[in-house]
Amino acid sequence: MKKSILIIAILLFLAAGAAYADDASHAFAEALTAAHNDENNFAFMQFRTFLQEYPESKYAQQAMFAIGEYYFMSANYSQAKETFYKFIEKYPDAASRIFAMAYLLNMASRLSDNKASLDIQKKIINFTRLTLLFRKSKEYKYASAFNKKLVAVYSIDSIKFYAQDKLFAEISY
Amino acid sequence: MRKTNYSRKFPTNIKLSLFALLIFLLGAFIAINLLLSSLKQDISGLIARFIPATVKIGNIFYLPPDSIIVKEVDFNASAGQKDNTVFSIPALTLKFSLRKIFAQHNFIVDRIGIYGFQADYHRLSYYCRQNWEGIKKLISIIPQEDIKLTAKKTNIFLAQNKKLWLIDSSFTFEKKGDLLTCEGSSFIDEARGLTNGQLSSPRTHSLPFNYSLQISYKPGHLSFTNLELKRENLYLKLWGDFAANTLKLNGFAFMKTLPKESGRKKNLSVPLRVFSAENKELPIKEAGYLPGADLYLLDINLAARLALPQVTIDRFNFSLNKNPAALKGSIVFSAPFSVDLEYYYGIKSPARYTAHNIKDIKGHIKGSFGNAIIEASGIINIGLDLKKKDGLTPQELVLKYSGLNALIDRQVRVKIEGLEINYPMGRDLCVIPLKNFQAVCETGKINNCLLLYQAQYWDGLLKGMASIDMRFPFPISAKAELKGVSADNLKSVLIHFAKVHGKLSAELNFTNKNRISTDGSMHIKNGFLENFDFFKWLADTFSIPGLRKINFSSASSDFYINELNCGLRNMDLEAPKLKLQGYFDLDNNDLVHSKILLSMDKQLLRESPKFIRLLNVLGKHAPDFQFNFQLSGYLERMNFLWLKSDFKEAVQSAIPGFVQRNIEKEVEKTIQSIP
Repeated sequence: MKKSILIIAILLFLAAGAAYADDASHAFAEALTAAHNDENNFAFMQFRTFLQEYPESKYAQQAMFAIGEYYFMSANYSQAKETFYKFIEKYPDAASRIFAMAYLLNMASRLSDNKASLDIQKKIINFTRLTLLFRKSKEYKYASAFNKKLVAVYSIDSIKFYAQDKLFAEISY
Repeated sequence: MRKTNYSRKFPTNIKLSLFALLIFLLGAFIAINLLLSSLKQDISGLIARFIPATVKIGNIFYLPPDSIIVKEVDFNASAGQKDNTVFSIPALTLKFSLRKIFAQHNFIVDRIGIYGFQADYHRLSYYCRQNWEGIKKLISIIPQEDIKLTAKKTNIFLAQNKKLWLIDSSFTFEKKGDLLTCEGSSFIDEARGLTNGQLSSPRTHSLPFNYSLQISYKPGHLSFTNLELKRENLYLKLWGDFAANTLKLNGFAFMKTLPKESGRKKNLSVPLRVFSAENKELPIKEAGYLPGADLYLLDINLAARLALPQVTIDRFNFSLNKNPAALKGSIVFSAPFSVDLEYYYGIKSPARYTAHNIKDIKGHIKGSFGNAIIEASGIINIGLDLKKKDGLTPQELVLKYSGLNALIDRQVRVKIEGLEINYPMGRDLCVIPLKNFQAVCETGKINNCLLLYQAQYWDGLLKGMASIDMRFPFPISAKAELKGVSADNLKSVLIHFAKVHGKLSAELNFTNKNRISTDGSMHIKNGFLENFDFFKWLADTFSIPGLRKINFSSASSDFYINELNCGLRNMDLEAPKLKLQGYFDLDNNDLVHSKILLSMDKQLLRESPKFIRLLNVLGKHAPDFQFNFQLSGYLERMNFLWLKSDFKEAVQSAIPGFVQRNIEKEVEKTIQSIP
């Protein structure tokens, strides 16, 4: 009798977990669809709600990056900076981390914040250790939730960031 | 009737009276002079009761109406010894008050004139130190009446640095109630010495030191209301008090460090202003005490305990050209003059010739000075204010010296048994140990010292020259040459040298003018590299054991270090199976800029199973292996680019693109794994 109760409890827990995951995926997909449809304000609110309700979801880092990107697009640089700094701290292994730093570099340059600019430049340069034997450069790519195609090109003595194929930030050393 | 002749009788009486008075005065004059003459022995005896001395008086006589003249006074340390004269006075005048004699029946000398006092400084100061208690007792029996002492042509001889100096002073000292004042001037000149007992004309003619002193005296307490010292290149003013053996002084001084000595006839052109108690702390721009002064000692605050010959300085704070300075310790004013002092000088307002990157200098010195020889040991800690604060740039420089012996003559000759220069670099302490340091300092030019030096550095020899600007804080331009030192010993300066073996020779230029900068070149012949980081990495990554130890015939490089960057230029390593050329720069942000050309012999490459396959693919006509690469990024995570070369083109054309990508991924994975 006890054994069957235990099995039923485990099944219920797994079912609830699956339902939770489904809900999170659904909520993120809705936000993503809004972003793809250029309903940026609506998408931003959905990403924010999603992050509040599912902070541990596998989509949470994409949502947080999207929130930071929205603030940047709205020229709300203080909120954008706060969000991106939180992002790179919370997700040190995220593939999009380098682009969060690119946004921070762009803002430091816009706000003439040299100290922040030097600090973030160092982080970007140290992001990877380049070994270019046959290639001349190495590229990192990321498609953001707001449908932005972000590219980082690492050469031996420069790093260039492109957003939608337009040069967006650059470091020479 | 006989007429009375009044006109004849009266003159006769006057004449008689005058004659009688003359006889009386003459008798009194003779009697007084006989009495004075008989006092010669008594005076000597009286003095001898307090201090061991024999006083020879040539002549003593009364000069009416109120003077006593004493001639040819010789004050000898003790009887029966030749050449033991402490001082001599050719002429001495004592003046007394006739009024006090007749009104108060009191014989009081109230004016003393001394002419031509002569003494040897060392003998006089030694005698005074030895008999100080007796001198104090002798002074205490002198009636404490108002007195004025005037001294002219007071000549004190000082033998120093194989030269004879003459201190020629004239001054007036006056005691009036509780107030003591002294005013006078002194010339300090190099003397030719005495010829037939007469002073020859001095070799030099200096400008005088003028001084004035005003002291308020109460039992157990002296209050210095004014102490002034003036010269063309110096103005000093002090005030304070002395009680319970403790001297407290405040004051300020101005100096010109470029003195212009000229003839004695030239007038003193220093427009000195009169001080009042209210304007003691005038700002420098208003002061004008010494126009053209370039050294300001302001806010002097001294507290010192006197137990002569020792003076213990509890506090001596002042600002030197607006920079804080402090001294603490003890000084012994006896032969040999010795000090045990801690000092501090902070640089907040660098002068135009200041080494801007020195933050402060502090240290300790224990030593002595006598017969023109300084003996000392101590430590000098130089705090640096370099822009870069990343742990790789030293923030302080420490010089420890022991067994310093400096002979000060026309040249200054310095010997230091042990001199250690150290500075923290990151977590390590870099040490430059020098033994038997010897230097000669030529001080021919004003404000400049040319230093020629040599020292034993590990098993090699360091020698060179330095030009030191003697104006604080001593900007230096130096050249050094290092010969025959085992390169691995230099690990105490740069840890990478631990893996470099062979005899190293180097040339080095150093300056701290405007900013600290070092550059030079080094060369090692017939040495070897063992487990040198870069080659060890190559050996491990590409399985080439021959790179673990590389015997080379010649390795050389230029180097430079300054506040903004450092690096190696014209690197050149010649080994039988390997050649390396290139440069490596590291900038202020620790970013690397480097290009290196590495050529390896095919025979060496055949040691590697990986390269054997590659060489087989390339075939017999493969070009020489020239690995031409560029490094960039931060030192701790350098990026790597294989630059274009014939060899690279041959490799690229021999292997398909997807294989290139696989190789690249593998190498990248390997490099990423390196911490």
